Amino acid sequence: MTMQALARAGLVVGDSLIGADPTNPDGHFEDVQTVRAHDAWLAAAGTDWRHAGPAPGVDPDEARRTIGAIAHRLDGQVRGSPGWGVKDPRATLFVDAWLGALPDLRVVFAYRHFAACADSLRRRQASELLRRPSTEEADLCFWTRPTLALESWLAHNRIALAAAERHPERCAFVSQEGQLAGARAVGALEALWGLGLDTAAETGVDASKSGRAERVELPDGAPHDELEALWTALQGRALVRAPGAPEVLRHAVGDAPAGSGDGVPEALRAQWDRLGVAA
Amino acid sequence: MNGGAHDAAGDAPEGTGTDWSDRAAVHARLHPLAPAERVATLQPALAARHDDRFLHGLLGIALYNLGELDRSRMHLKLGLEGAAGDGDLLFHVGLADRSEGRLASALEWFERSVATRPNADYWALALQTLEELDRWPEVVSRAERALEDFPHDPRLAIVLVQAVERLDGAERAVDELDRRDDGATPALAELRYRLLAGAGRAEAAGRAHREALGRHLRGRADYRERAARTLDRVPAGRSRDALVALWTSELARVEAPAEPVAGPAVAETAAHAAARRAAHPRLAMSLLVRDEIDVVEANVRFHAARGVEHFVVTDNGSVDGTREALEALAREVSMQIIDEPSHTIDQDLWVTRMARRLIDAGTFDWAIHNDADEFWVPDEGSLPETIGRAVGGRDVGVLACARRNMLVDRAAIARADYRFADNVHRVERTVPLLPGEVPWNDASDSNGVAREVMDKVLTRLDGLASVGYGNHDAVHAGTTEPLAELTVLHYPVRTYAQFERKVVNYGRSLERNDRFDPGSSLHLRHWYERWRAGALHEVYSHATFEPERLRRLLAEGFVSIDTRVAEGLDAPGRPDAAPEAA
Repeated sequence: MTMQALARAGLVVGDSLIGADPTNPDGHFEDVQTVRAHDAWLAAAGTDWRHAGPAPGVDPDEARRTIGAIAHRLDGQVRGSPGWGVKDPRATLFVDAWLGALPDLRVVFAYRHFAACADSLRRRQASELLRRPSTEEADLCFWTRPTLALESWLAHNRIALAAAERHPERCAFVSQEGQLAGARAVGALEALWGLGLDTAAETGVDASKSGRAERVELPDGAPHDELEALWTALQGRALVRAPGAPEVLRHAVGDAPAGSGDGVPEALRAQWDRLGVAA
Repeated sequence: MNGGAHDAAGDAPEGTGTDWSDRAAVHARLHPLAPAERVATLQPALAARHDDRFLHGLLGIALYNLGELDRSRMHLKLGLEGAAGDGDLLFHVGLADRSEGRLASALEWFERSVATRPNADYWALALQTLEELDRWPEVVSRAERALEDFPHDPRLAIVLVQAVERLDGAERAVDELDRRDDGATPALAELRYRLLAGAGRAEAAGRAHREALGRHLRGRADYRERAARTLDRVPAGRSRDALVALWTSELARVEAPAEPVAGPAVAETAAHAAARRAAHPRLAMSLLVRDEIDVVEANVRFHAARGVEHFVVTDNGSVDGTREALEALAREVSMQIIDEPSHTIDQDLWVTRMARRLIDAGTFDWAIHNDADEFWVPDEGSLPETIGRAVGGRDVGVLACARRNMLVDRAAIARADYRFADNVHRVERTVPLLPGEVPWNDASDSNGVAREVMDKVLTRLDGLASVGYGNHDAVHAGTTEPLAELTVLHYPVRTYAQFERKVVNYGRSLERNDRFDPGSSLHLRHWYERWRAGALHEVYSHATFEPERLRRLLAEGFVSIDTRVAEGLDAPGRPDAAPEAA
């Protein structure tokens, strides 16, 4: 959403982007080469995009070389535009490498409420599992470890806040919820940094395409106090704040026994029958 | 291993027990090992056999997987000195170059590997490298070529459609996708969504995506079982309830098919599904063929009618129409065709390669490793039911089945409408030679056909490391047991033309093979020598039988009558009758 608005305001985002899918009908606006590089660095560090620990290391020479190549490619596409940008949530994990490699770089952290973020990750994984059932832990992780999405949210946003502490003049936070409520991130960023963006351009933000849960559940074992504290810190530093937060229900999502028990519930079987899925 | 693939001078390093000159044994040894363990195993072997190009190639691949690119390249190139046409080695040199960003060089190696042996993985990497080099028109032309070899590989279709989008826009790409999409592959459905959404057709995108989901689920025979296993992995509770609720609500938005579907299915838990699968495993068949036009179609149809769901077929450079017959069959039955043009009869390696394809597919439980002239006939019911009954949920990995040669009746073969299944005399005991007949080797008193022959195996795919030469045994984590309720009826001799072609094909391939010792496939080597001496007609004559002699052999118990294959071909799908008593 933020990158879409920036692109519409004139920022060059490259011509090789991860496109739309049903979870994001407007497209992800993530630069393919950047995502591949981050995935390779994560793999080299023995982790992946669901990372839920301290910032993973990356070889500094490799980081400088790769970031330099990405910058060189996008520099060639600017042609009178205000500049270029790349989006990838994984970039948060390597933000120090980016800030170190490009002295003029500015970083926009687009954040959202932890409960909404976890809900989104679990929904996306559920949809993927519906199409490709799997028993692999990596494919099921947000369902077998119900707190994982929250732990990952904590890890990413702690790293972001730490970078902002070190480089306050080069980092800004904008909330998704604020933009959905009508706040214009482009205008705020232009006022902050004077990038030459077209602040009158349509943002493309369409609240109807983003399902916002008013109430969300957190699983047992969720580090609720840490989550709330970090959310408060993000809101305190934000250029575009969230107007509020969903109601958080703190009963268990993962562990408490519920009615369905083992096996395939009747409601799901009925859908399979209706659609003619082979028994 | 049929005795053939072992080299008496194989100088196994002490303590390893591996004959490093036996490629199948080496593959079996390395298969379960991680790359670092493979390197640690291969290095001492190479110290003793430093000129062994085959081992150099394997070490190069293992080193690539460890990220040691320079050493990997060095060993791969040494391996290529002994096997310049080895697609895997060429491919891995390309991978090493690609890892270091040397894309143009990598592309050359990938193209060489594709030219050597068509392989979807080679193609996919070649195309991806072309993309990265921004050579989009070539991406289109090469992807079209790749899809001629592998028309159902969604990776290749995706590359082509994306390249068309890049060159000609989203609408044109949707047209291309319409030509390539099987309607049930999630990755292609996602691409369609992106193209339509990118073209501003959000509603059409959503509708197409939902329709694709319905088709995809209907197209998977094991979908419910797989979904149930997924749910089993999520602990019972709110988390699983939430997952079920999301699935249910997403499915509720999918329109039901226009055609009415069968009534409500029987409710099935994962435990039920596992039990059903154990009793009725999913069965595939590998088939190695070369110039088998008189039997290949009957073979596939016979086994498909008895429960084989999928065929992986390696065509070893057929020139008699077999390859074309397979193409036609692939439109009717689930089949993957591998072209193996090397006439080196590396049968064990090729069969193991087919088995690995099946293992990688992850869809099938058991595989029959078959030849075109062999028909697997269950005493009762289907092949999967027979396997399920025999295994009974135990950890059995290999089932060995008796094989019986089927003899040619000279009266039948004289008829214009002769077909192989007219060989109905089944050898029960080795038939002694008549005066003047020549044994097929010095230690034998039979003609090489009317004799007792070695068993054949079918294997569980889980736990399978490799299949031995001749499909007589396998390296497997599970146990091996006999399976008396399933007999392999073997039709090695049909017409003289077929017999001569088989003898010459085999003989020349055995001459080219430097892996097997001269003690392997003795009967074929003997027949080839007789052909070279101009005496194959005499061999054929001794391998076929006058009706009167067959009647005597029947009365004496050397043969019995078995008409099940003939009856099965006349009424495909009909359960076979029990064999007629001799």
